Amino acid sequence: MASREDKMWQDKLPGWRRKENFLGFFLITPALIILFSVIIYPLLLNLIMSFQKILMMKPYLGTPFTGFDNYINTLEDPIFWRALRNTFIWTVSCVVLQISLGLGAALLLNAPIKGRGLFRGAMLIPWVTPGVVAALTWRWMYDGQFGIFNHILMKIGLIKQPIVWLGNYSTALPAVIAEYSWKMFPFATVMLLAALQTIPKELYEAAEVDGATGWQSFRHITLPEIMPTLSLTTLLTSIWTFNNFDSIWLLTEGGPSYASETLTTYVYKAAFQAFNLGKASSIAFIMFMLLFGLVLIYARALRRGKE
Amino acid sequence: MRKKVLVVSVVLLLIFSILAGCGQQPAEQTSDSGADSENGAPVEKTKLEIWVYDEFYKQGDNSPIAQSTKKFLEDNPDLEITFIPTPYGSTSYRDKYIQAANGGGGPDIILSDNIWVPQLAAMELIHPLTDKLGAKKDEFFQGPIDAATLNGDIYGVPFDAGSMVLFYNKTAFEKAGLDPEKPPKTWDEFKAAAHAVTKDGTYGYGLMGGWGGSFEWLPWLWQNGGDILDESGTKVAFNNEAGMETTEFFLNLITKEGVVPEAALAWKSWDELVAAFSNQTIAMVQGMTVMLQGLYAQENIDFEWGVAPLPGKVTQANTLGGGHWVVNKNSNKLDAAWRWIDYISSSENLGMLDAYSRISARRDAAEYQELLKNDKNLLVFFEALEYSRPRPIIPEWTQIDYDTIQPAFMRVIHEGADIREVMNEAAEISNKILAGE
Repeated sequence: MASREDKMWQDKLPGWRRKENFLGFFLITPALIILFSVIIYPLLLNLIMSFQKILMMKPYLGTPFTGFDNYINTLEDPIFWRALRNTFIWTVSCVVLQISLGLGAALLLNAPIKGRGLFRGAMLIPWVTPGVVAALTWRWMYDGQFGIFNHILMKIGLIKQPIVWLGNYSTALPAVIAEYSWKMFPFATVMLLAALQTIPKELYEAAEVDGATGWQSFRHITLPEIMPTLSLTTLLTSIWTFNNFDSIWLLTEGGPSYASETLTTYVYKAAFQAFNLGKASSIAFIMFMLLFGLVLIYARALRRGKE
Repeated sequence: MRKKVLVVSVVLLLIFSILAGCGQQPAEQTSDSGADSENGAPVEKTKLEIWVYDEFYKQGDNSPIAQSTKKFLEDNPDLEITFIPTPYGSTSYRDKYIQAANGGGGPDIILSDNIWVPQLAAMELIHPLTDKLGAKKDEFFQGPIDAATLNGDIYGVPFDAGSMVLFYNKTAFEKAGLDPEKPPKTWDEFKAAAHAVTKDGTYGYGLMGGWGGSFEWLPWLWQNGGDILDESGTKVAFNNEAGMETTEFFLNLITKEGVVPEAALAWKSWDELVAAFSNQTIAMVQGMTVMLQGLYAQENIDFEWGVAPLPGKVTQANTLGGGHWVVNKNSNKLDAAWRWIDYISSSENLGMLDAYSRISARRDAAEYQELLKNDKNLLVFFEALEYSRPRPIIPEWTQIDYDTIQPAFMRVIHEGADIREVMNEAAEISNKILAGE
């Protein structure tokens, strides 16, 4: 029945009105349902809750809608701004450290050295160590009385007095950053090593013939070749770091006195210490928007990179 | 157009059926008594699910609590009990329960830290047990019963109980010229002893400074006649004169007296205190039964140590620890749950707690627990239970502690802030929290 004109007319229709797409929509329904129930529904619920007053300790108050009260409450809280600043420092430092350590290790492990397989395996140890075990071990290493870091630093004469790494305003956040970067850099290494291995040797040989220095080869061959992997790894690392909770919680719980408080520990405290789910939802939504922004920037950068 | 409607409606239908399914509760199992078994028909058993800290269920079915329950089940064939060991963590256990119970599910019974009981009660997630407990409440120490009481209703049945005592290094006392059998009984004696033993790398006193010290500070506040709340219970009182005096005495130990090692400012766990005490970094420390077990597990302690009641001032007081059995509000098997709770917390079962090195919250525990006959250290804990007080029985306590008192202490310790100023500020914020602002 369908004439040629009909078909052309159909092609101009938006996708969902095309006949042949009916089956397509039907087939992706399960995926849509899962997407809806695990992502969109919780997100919407979170958004709705962020406009409600929900105090779990006072169930008799009900859950009235209170407009932007939760957001105002959050934005007026000086600890929120401190947590936001710490989150920024935390994310940027951890990502820079993880990527540079990861890239360095990947370059070394890509070189033809003896026992390369062993090193490649051993390097994964921090990454496969359970987060709780790693954090508790680092707590002891940072200890002001028994810690190995103080012991070593005093032995080589860098410090005279032991430093209470996790108990000082100025050292708590850097100490947690070091632990988390150590824990997570193998991921960057694995990703980048895989990318390095796909670069054809001929490119380097040609560069060598043309008289390129090592740095020039790296700058003009290695870097452009691994760029897609590098940017994807950076994005994933950024999201994970931004959202990390256990490292900070287990090492300092955001302390001392909010010195290492990030948005994740802040939202946890609002939800499970103050049991103020409305406020916690507003913080969570702000976090979501921040991450969303990050992803948008990345997507734009990726598109520009392709052009 | 019709197709669009069809697609959309199919999608919506599927979504809603899934959502509806998520919210639905599985049909509750009901039990009829053993009547059926006489007819030879299979008995429909009432299933009880019980959450315990994983340390109570380390040996699986051979764990003392499971063994004890086996005997119970012989007399109660209509019940079936499953233990679910759950890692204790600091709060993750409680948070897991809150999430499950808010979703309409969760276990029937959980072992809850006494400090969580008023929180869970305020959230209306657990059943009041006042009527079930009845006159039996007098069989327990007052502290644990108070800890589970909110607005006149008792929500939990005390299981184990702990008090807070002073651990002290007898050898260090002797070296400093103090009588090792005479631990400090007053604040002044305590301060003098702390100074006397502070030498050669040993400090007089240690604490979990990572929390600002509020955990150790609370009993001192009570000893001085102070309290967190005033009599109305709607405003805080920790910044009155007794409170200020306590806070000054206590924080000065850290900032001015030089009897606390700097490393203590980061300590947040019993493990750290056990390590510091057993390698003689600190000579005195406030501890609960966990600390005792930690020290027993240390093999290389080459000095004498002992435990004593905390020093007192106006009165004797220490902080209560321990757990309560509470029943999930979503469980419609309250009667069955009660039968088990009543059994597990009875005198005859106290021997089971021996295996966990824990003291019962029952007043008659000394008669039934071998542990209390053999271990004179534990007996000190048991006797101190008479003066044990629960942490403030208000749902907002954790928030007041974490958001006002701890930060205030930290500002004094780290920034040299004025004690009276920060404590008044802390009180102001606490009152706002109490008023629900």
